[in-house]
Amino acid sequence: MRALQQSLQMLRGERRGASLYLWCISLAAAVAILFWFLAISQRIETFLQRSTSGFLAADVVLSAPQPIDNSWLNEAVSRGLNSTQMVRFSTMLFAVDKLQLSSVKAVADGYPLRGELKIRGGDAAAEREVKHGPAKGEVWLSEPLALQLGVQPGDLVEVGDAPLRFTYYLIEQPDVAFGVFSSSPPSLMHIDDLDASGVIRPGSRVNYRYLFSGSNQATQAWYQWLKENKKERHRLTSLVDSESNLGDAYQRAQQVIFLAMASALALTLIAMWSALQSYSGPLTRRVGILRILGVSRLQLYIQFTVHLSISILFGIGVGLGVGYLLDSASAKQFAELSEELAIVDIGWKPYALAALSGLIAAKCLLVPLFLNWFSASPRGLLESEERTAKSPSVWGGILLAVGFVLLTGLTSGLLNLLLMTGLVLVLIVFCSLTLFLVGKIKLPAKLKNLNLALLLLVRQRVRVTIQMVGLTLAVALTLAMVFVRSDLLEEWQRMVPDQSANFFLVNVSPDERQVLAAEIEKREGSLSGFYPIVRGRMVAINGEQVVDNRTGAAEREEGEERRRGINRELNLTWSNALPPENEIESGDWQLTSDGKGLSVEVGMAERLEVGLGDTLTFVVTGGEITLPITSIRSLDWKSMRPNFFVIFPEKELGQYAHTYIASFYLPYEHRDWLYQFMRSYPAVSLIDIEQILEKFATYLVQIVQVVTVLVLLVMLTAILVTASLVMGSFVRRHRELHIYRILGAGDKALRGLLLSEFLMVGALAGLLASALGELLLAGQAIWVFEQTPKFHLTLWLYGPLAGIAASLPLAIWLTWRLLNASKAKTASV
Amino acid sequence: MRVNAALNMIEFQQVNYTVDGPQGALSILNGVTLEVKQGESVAIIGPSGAGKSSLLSLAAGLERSSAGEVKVAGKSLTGADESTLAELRAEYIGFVFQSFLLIPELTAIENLTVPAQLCGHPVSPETAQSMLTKVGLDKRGHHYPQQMSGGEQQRLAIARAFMTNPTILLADEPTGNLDRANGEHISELLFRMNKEQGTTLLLVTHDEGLAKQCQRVYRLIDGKLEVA
Repeated sequence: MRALQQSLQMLRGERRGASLYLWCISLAAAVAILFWFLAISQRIETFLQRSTSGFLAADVVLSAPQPIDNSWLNEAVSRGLNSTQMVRFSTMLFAVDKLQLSSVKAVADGYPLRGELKIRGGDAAAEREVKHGPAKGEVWLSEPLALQLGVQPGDLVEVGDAPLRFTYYLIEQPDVAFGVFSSSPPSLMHIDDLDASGVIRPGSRVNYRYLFSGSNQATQAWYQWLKENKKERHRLTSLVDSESNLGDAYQRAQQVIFLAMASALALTLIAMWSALQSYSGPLTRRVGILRILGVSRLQLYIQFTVHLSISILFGIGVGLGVGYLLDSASAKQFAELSEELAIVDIGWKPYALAALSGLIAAKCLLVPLFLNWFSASPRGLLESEERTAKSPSVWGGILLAVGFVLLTGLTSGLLNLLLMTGLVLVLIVFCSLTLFLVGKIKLPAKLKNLNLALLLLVRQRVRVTIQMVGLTLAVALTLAMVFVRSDLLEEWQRMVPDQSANFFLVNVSPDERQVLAAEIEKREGSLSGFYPIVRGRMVAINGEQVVDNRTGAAEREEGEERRRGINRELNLTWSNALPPENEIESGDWQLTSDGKGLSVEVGMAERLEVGLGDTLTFVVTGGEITLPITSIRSLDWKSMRPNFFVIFPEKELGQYAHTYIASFYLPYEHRDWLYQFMRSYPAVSLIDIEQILEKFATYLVQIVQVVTVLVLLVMLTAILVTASLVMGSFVRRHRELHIYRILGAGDKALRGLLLSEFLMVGALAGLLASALGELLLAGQAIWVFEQTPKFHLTLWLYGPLAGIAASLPLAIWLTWRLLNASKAKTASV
Repeated sequence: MRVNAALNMIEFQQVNYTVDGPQGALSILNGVTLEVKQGESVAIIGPSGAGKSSLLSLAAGLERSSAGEVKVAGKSLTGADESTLAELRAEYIGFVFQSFLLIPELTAIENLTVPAQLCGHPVSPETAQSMLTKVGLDKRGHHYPQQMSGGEQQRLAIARAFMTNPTILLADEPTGNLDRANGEHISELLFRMNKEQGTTLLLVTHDEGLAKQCQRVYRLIDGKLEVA
């Protein structure tokens, strides 16, 4: 209790000095910024995950050719997950005198777990979003399907033996398929009508899908469990790890969040380190005096532990309070972007992690200070004040780095931790090296201020390195984020250039091609050409039979070891020319066009473990074809054009019954005409991908907005932290300027010196940031997106400019403050 | 710029100086009148808190008088703005302080060149080195202040004060932080340099021995100046 009273008394005394405030403010600022970042990241990640999950209608989807064991569903429930299921199949739908093939989903209650369905009652009714599927006895049809069947809401449609009431047009589904050209127009019914329809019989081609959703942690654990326990015939999907553009975008956004958060953490820790340096000087002196006066070490230990704990708890408390207010204010702003962002429950994690970070960082900083206080001689402590002011404690820095590693590991996982630690180490080496080189530069004598600024920078190497590391990190991450943002947009434009295909035609017979092409072109449409399609199944590799889709897995489980095949029918095609954006990886394309063999997609070849010269046998309607592989191709699955696993020579495949598929662009105002026109071709499926593209575009826009918010936040943090860093050296600078002023230096000379120094740090940090940003982007291109890295010339221009821009307001403000503060007042010298 | 020997280099006319204290205005100097001619050396002695350092600050234009007039090199400091005062200090005045006031981040040579450059008197490292030789620090050019003893730091401060060829040297307890032997060395150096450069010296000190080496000695008691 006495220690507490004495501590409070000491704190009251310290209120007169600036360093206590600086220490408490920097600790509070660090905790507040970290809390704010954690809370926003939590909001954004949850929001992104839900938006992404909307494309699957769930967080995790397990699909199987047969129903799964009920115990798995019970396991999911016991883990606190929500689940529902659907059955997908293709069947003919009947309405009075018309019939049409449809891709049907029979969904259970609870569908969709994520995202919404968009439906419309009648032609004049407004579209609306619902979070449920059709009720028992109802069917929802897509507009083209309803048009082709000639039905209106209220009419009856037969699915197999079950007459169902068509109640709504199905405008949009959350789990819309991206493999567009294998689909027929969609419809939705309730799973309880399935038995009555009788469409599912032994041997039917059916896909059972089990949808799961829950908290991030629970779904991740569930995903892992399923991955470990699933059978070979099961397929597990989570968009986060998919190869789609969406997965890419989500991964990029996640990386941006991580980088932003780790940089905020690093920056705020640096600020605290700097603040404690200025606070520890007077404290060290005080400990020295008290030890000379004979106060025991134990007494001092208790005294200062209580003393510093009060300031730490105060700083953390204020920081959490300010962070909460900042988060509440920004949540209101987020509500304009998305309601969901505002209502996400951030939970306890941001509070705990921010408080823990503050505590760990403070302890990391204080331990070396305490060790020094109680191991050095009292006289040494008195003399060390000057040294402490000049050079911050290296041990404190090392311990702080350990704290950073621990905290990053806690918040972001091992891989990200290694990445970020490596980044910071590279940065420290970069900054030290730069300062060393800068020290060797001899500028012309005329550039008086720059020369002096250079000298002062080099003389404060440790402090300037810390300042540069912080600023460089912030500018580099900001630049990287800006470029990730523009890469996302560029990629979207590349994937969907102006007038890219917005409709697909499937199942076009050879003699319908010319008429359809002519009609589309009449309405300013542009057709990419017709690709022949023969449906076929691969049955053998090098004469050895492969496992069959529906029965194979069971056989395999029974111990009959057979080679793995493709678990579905394939769209086979022929072509004399290599399709656009396909590249030959090995072999010779010419051999395929000459009729000597097959061209196989590289991923498929890897999965089947086949190479050039291996023979594949396919069964198609009316025959069997066996050919060797003569070339292996790579292609871009993300492009919105028909892509094929296997391409045959025309002379081998052209003789079998085939249909055509085509993609085309048609101005959207002709959409109604197209639907009317296609009624004359009931066998042809029209797939409208404009809606898919729109939904995807909306998602990308959301990601870009999120990235923009984070860019602004990191920049703001950087400015605050740089301010805190510079304020940490304020007392020393003030003293220095005061000496110069007493000796006769005028405002103009001092202003020039200060501005040159601050802006030079900004420019150097910006230059380093460009280098670092370039490395980050190259690393991301190589390891994350598997692309050839690009050189970003503009990055090298923006870097130094951004560094100067970030430093300028601070440099002006600080120069003004320092010049005013250093005027007169000899008494303080 | 050199000035006429008959001219008063430092002139106080009925100068009052008061500061705000916890119990109202506190009078530090009260009707101080002092004239110091070119090349003269004058010492001010007096007990702690008598106002010696304040008098020096007024002479340097670092504080402003509450009443009366202070002139340096014939120029009135009353009403002069900050930049004029800074120019005046840069042009005429050199300082030596009890606590040395060196820049810890700069080497000995840089402690001479950087402030001179900022005051508009660019000097080469060679000139700085020869000044260091004059004060006996020829081997310490690349050392930092904290690597030097107290006596050496004060020698460096004296070298800095003479670097810009000032016409006036203001010294505030120049031996106050030093032991007796070092104090004697410093006072010998200070007066030797002062003589060689023909500088006007205004010195405040507790040390009567040091004060006696000046041509005139005044005592400051209760804000009033008396001949000692």
